[in-house]
Amino acid sequence: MPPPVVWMDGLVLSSIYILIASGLVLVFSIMGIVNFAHGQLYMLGAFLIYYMFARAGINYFVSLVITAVAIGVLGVAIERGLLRPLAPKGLLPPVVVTLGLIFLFEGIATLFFGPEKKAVPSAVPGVSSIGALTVSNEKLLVVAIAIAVMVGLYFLVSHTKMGLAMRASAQDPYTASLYGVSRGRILSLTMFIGCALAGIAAALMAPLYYVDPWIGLTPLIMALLAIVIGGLGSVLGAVVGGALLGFSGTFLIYYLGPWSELAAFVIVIAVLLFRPEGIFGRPKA
Amino acid sequence: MKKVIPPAVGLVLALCFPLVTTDPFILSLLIEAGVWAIAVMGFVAILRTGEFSLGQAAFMAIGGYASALVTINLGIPFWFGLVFAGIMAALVALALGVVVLRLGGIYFAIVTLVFGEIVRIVALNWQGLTRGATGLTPSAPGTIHIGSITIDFIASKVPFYYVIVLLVLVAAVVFWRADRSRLGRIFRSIASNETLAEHMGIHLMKYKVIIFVIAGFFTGIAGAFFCHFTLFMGPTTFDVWDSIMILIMGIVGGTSSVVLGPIIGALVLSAGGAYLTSALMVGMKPLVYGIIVIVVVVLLPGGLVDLGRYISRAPRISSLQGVKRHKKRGN
Amino acid sequence: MKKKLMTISVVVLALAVLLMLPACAAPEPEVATLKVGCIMPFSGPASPWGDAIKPQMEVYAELINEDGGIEIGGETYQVEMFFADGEYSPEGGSRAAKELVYDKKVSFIVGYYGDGFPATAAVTNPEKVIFISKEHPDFDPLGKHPYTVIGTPVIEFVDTQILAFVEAHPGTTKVGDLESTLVEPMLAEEIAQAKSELEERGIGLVSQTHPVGITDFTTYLVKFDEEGVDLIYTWAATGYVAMMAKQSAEQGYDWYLCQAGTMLDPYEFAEMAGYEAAQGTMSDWPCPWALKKVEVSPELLEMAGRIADRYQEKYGEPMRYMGGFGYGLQHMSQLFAGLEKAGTLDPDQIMDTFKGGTFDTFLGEYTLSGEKTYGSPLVFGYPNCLSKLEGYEEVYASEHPILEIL
Repeated sequence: MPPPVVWMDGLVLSSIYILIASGLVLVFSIMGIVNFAHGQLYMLGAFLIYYMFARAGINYFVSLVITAVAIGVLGVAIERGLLRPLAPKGLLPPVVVTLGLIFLFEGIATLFFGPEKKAVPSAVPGVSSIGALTVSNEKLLVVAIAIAVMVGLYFLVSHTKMGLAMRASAQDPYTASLYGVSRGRILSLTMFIGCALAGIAAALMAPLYYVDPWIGLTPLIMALLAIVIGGLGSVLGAVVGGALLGFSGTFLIYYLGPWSELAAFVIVIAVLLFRPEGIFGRPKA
Repeated sequence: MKKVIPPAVGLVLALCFPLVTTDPFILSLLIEAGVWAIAVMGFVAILRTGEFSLGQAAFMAIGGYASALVTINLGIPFWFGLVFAGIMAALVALALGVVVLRLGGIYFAIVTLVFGEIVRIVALNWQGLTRGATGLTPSAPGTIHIGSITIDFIASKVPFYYVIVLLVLVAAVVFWRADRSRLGRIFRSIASNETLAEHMGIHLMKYKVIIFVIAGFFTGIAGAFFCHFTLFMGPTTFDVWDSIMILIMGIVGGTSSVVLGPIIGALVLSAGGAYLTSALMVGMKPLVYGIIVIVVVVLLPGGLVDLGRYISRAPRISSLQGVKRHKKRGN
Repeated sequence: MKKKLMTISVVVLALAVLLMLPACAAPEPEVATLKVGCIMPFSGPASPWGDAIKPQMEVYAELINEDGGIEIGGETYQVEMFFADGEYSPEGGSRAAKELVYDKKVSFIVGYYGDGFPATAAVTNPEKVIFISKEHPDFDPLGKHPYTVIGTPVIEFVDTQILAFVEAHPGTTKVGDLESTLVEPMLAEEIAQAKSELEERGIGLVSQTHPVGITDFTTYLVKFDEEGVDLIYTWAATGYVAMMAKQSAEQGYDWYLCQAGTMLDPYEFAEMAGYEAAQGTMSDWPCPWALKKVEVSPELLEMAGRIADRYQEKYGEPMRYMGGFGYGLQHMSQLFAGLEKAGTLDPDQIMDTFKGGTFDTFLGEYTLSGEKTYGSPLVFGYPNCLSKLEGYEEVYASEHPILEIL
């Protein structure tokens, strides 16, 4: 058994993968496209936290909320301005636009914020000891907020009218529209929530690590893998996939060293071979 | 007959280009663009079967490593290395295609992306074979003597230029033939209706796999050529960003034709992009590429290849609706 | 139709403008100039290094030109610098080299910062462009690369560098070496040598390799702790070292953290790692004017001071990154010293002068010779010193004992 620190680290990594993957999967379930710029929205969120919390000295939790809202609004702007007008042209054009946005956002971040790594100080400095486990308060905060956000998301999707409308629209947009669910509003809402989740993930992670224009790629790839493992279109799947990758990542580092990097990809291939729709995905009709 | 004229003119222009300039900088940019053009043709050919590959650069990596390893370790000449690279990449494409083309759609895109990462990680960690990040240093093709003529691949870029023109030509003919084959045409006419296809006894899968393997073959050759041109092959020589660049070149060039669009896309983004960023905007390449992609997808959905048609007021055809278009034509 | 026409004209116009811009470059100056190229990363995650060193090199060239230029064989030359983006990749280096050699027609390339030496040398060598580079395992001055100079022998001294860090921390019993998969194969031989040298002194060494791009090193640190490591040596870029410092402190590990390079910006490092966690982190600091033992020629010491002053004047902030004196600036000083001594611009004669010659450079006297690699300008007596982070500053810690070891 790996020591408790390694478990804790797996939990922290899982939290970030889950937050990013669930945002990605939410957008996919309603819009049918993978937003490849999701990782870059996360990166922009991290810069927002840097400028608000580290530079302007605004309270961390206030900065976190503003970041989530701002990234959510940016997501809505992308959805309304670029993705929706392209939707009638098929699935490919919107997907390609999100790939183009990767380059655009990284370019803008390099140009305006600079390529140097930037530090965001800890919101809750210090270290706690829980039995044999020593862990920074920051990491505890990350896990706590991530769990709270995911519980909130669960209630939003499964216990509110808004969530019902979203699920209905995901399953059958046409029938949903007959019952008075506005497709346009659902699209915007989903994009807002999905991107806000990326913003929250960024706000949580920025103080743990650092901020630069390229931090979006690794989380994006891990989130993609997580949603493939869990099943495209299933938020629960994203949670399980994210946790599987987070824990397997740290455990395998402990036992295997650099080859552990391969493990995540092998898990994905195995899942796709034996259960192509993912663990929680609906089998293809 | 009329259809043969524009490609023939293009070919003659390409062949005569070294008479205009033998400037190694410009030729190098064109040679690299040629390499990408071949890879993009493969991507577009696959896209026209309805699948969206995000891992084409992995085949370039496999081809590059295959050729570099056999030429370095076994002393086999470049030319055989090139063919070997194509065969290896095609075999991998066959194995991968048979398994993952069944999945289709976004799964296929993600699995190919994952495949690219696996190739990179294996190349990075299997140091006994690939020397890891240190990379391999394949050499340029040996000097050829034909009678009194000497072809030296080191002193000048012109021989490389003609080799890539030839490779682009061969790839173009093969992709064009496959695209226009009976199977290809039937495929596109019914691709939108898989049930109908099954009833007609057409093996959609077979055609998809064939195209995927052909694309793998030429993409592998392109990768091998590239590593013997830059004299280096490492784990990040062809990575996920290169796969994305291939995709972007394909979309920007336009996918309504399997040959012209990729060539235009590669010329504009690879050669044009390198020229631009070197000349005035050091470090601004990502931004410029991002803007080009978004502008083209939003304003010119058919890609640059449609620019001419657009101007001549011909009916606008979106390459991204390729399937629909052919259906209409079939009627 | 009108809308379409508008769209077309906008797209065409935009493309035309983009293509025309490069043509508006300034006309060639008529004074005799030395065209010196420099390949560094200006895009991507490594670009902060390129961005940090480039202005220093420009300032140096500017000062030389103001002083009248470089005298070679009775004629004076102004220095003109050309920079190209090597993207920190072999392909990028190759492309940048082609641009500099074929298009900009430079005669020399200095300050290479990246790990794609073979691809870059493949372009410069056939054109007899002298290429002063960072060290690479494929460096082959007698065969493939006769026109290359190793200006910064970073790998050669990995073992002595480790010994230097160990000597600076008496009582060390076990060294932990943590490298990314990207540099590990390059260092493997030297690390093995360091291991045997340490074992002679009764000190152990364990190595771990991590994948590129990770930011959480906790699991690796836990394993080092289980091994009983009390000094960590790493080649990781300074941002990752900050992560190691931070995550070590979180677990209460109080080992010495030593990085092979130097900090890009000590203030940002301390912020990233956390002020307390960052204290005492050691770097290998190639700053000459803080050294008492190494003799650097007074003119170059003065020049180093002028570069720092002019930099501050020009950019309104102090010159924080000192690594430039080990890369770009160092290579420039090597090149100019070699050219003045050779008294000619003929590449073969310049290389003959380089081989076995002794020159004044920013890091002291360099002797470019060596029996094991004759013709290779391997440096004996690479005069660095170690620095330690105190507060927000990198301060002089101890002499690099390489001089004594060799």
